[in-house]
Amino acid sequence: MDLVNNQNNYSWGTKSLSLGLPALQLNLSGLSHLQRTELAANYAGFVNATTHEPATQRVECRAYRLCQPLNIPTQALTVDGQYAPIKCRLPDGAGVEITGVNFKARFAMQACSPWAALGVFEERELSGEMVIQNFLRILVAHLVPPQGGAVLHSAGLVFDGWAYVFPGHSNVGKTTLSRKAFASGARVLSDDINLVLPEGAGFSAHAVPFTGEFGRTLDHTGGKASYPLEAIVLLDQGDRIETRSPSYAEAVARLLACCPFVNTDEHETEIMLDVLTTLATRVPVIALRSSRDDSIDSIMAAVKQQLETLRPIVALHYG
Amino acid sequence: MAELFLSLCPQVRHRAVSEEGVLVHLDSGRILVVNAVGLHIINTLTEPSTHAELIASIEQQFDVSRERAAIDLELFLAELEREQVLLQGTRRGAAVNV
Repeated sequence: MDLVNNQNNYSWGTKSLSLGLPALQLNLSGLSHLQRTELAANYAGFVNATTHEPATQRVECRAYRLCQPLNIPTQALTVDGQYAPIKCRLPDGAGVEITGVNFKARFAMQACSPWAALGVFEERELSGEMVIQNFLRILVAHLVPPQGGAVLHSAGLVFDGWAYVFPGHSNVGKTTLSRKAFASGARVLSDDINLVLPEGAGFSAHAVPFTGEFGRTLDHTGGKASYPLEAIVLLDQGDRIETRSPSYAEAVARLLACCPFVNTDEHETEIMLDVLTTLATRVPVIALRSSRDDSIDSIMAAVKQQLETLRPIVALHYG
Repeated sequence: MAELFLSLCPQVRHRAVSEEGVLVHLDSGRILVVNAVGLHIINTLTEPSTHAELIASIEQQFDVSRERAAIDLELFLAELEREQVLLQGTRRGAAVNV
């Protein structure tokens, strides 16, 4: 049964809302007053925000009501203990359909006029984190590769105006690291999902409204929209602090493993390998093993010491 | 006995990165790194190849003995089998998962 109704007939209302995320201007229409109010409150730092450079993509997204609850068993939306919405390609190959907890969505990012549709059965589900945040994560993950960017399952921390992104699988300690960094005065971009985009000769890390357990303490107010990316630190658990420099191939492979939603999509794999090879070439990548008890000061000291070994040696020329 | 041809599963994507290779299995989600010899074997396996052809190719490319090439190949193929990235058939182009 097609649970996606004619969206014109099944909109929730006539309200609209514009969200300005890095690389994405999302114009949501068909909202009820309640949905608009809740979304505006939850995404205050991003409502009608001036869109960020570079290459902002404008996407028209229509909200609509599903004609019946989805009732998808939890196990069908779980892979290796992690929430994993069901994803399939639309018959034209360019569009994607997502079925998640309490929502169904479709979008086409590569079209001349990128579009999206987001359906829920209950009015308040749409503005709930399980729906809107997961929808936005997936949308942005598919949007940025053609712009040379990537969404990384990672902790994003800013020290002295420089961003450090710590990719790692679930339960490796991203939230713990974020808490320690936050307590020491660092800015936390996100403890779960971060967006990196090319900028000049390097990359920058952007503030996005995607958080993990660290939660919505991250209102991103008072901070910049993006920070130059100083390094990528592949995160592993260990008994003590150890750092090393992985090969380019290991760096690319481990980064790819931390690109949710797109890393095993045959339509996206090639472009993701392009993006991540460029990323690993332009931004220093090191590997860090640490325990949950290690202080953020000792972790960052080890990271910076390892980065020093990667600095190019300036050649002297005489005559 | 019919000669066996090996090839890469179509659900596997690979890319050379520096001198190594990155493999992605789209079904399992597994992502692997292979060294230069592994990358050469993977590149060769994009066309169905026999054990003898693979050994000869390694021998020629890396200037190692046939015996050494055969041992390394068997170890590598065993790893690829565990990762379910190989197809096997009795003639070129006719293959099933190993």
